[in-house]
Amino acid sequence: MNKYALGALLGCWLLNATGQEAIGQEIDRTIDADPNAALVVNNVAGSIEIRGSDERQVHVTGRLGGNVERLDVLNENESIVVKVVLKDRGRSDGRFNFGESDTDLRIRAPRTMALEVSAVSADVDVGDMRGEQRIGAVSGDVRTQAYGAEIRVQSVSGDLDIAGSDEPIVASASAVSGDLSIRGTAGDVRAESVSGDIEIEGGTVNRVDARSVSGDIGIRAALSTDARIDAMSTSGDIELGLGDNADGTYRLATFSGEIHNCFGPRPADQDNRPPGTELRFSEGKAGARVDIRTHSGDIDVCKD
Amino acid sequence: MKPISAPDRLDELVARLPAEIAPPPRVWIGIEASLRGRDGALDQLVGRLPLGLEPPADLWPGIAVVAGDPRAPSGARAWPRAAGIGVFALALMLALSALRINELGRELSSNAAYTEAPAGSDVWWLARLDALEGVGAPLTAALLRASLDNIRDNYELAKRQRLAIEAAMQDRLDDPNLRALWVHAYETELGLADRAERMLNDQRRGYGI
Repeated sequence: MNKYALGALLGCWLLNATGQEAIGQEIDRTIDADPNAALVVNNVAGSIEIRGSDERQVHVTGRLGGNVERLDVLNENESIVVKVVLKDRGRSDGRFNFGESDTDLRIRAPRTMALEVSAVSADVDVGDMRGEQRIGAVSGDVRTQAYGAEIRVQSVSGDLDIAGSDEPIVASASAVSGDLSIRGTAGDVRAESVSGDIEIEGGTVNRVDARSVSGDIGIRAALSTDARIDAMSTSGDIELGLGDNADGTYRLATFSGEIHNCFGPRPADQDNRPPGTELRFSEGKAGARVDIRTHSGDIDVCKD
Repeated sequence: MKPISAPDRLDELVARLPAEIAPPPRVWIGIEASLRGRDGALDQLVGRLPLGLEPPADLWPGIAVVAGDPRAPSGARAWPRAAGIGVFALALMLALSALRINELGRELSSNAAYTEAPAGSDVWWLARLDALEGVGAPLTAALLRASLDNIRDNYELAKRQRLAIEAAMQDRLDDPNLRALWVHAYETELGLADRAERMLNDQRRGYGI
């Protein structure tokens, strides 16, 4: 065996001994975790998949991409941190292949842990995690499940998808150009986008606050007796589909768009009116409050 | 007499805002946090308003009405008092945003274009792209470039929408729906400029570095 081969073997042994993987190598790390602690995950490119489990450990598998300095899996200030550390400018030749840069992380963690995920172009997929969630991505898509705990998801161009359970949730989703989909929700939902579309579909909602600039907004849900729905878009269309129970007070206002409503009074002749239409009416026992406003977008309100 | 602290004065302002046009509580919480221990900063910040995003045409007349300035143009006097207070509140957010942006700018770069260009201007965006190249991991910088362009495109979109609403408001100054939409578009502009700045700051602090 020549001295170079011996050096390489020694290097591999050292990496294994210190828990460090070589680039392109499969990851397999386990760390003990308090189920009430937080799990903090950071990856730049590739993917992050997190699944809840009954174990009291965080188990990380996957594969490291290029331009990665190392993977940290450690207990820091009572949080479990899983972080892909990239080469900085001093250690990088400045060249990289986007495909080879992807690091894929698959993580199993106690399902009660609070979650804080940060990604740039990595897609995030979370399932069966019951603690609070804070997930931020730039261009990666985010998909997660919501239970009773509060959930906040944010992206720039990535699409956001939150699937609710029967439990009431408090969910907040915000994107710039990404589309938002919040399904199976009950409880309080806040959704905000600039040019992306917003779809909210679910059971009985208490509070919905949906805002966009040019993106369309679709809300299909039943109203609780004291529900409040606020939807606003400057040029996007807003469509509200309610179940059989549409009892509430309605204010539908648009400057240059059109209003279509399947119940309540008809709006004024929209072809021969000055700009600015506001339609106010009550339906049944007026407990809920619905407030929809656009500048040039159309408004459509029906019982589906 | 004990001077009124900046957060207390801010609370006083917030209490006067009509709920319809009051900025979201989380925005105020952030502003309040940034003012803690900096009593007197509020007055300074209001004095710094031009440093922020280019104010809409009706911003200053609106503030003048609130301040009871007799020189305010007659059209501005028609602006309802409540809206004027709301505009003032937004202007305050703008000033604080500008302050934070400039503080970050000083940390990131000594480039005058970075710190002095009006937020939202072409030079402002280009300076942020340049700064992105100078910090953090090269891979992340490359990935974030496209996102910064995306944020800028959406910023321009929100600005165009705000200007269209302002045009509609010329004849309908007392329309509460238009006012609410205007506030929404303007808040979106501010939010996008802030998001671009935070993205840069996150990169500096280490997306995977």
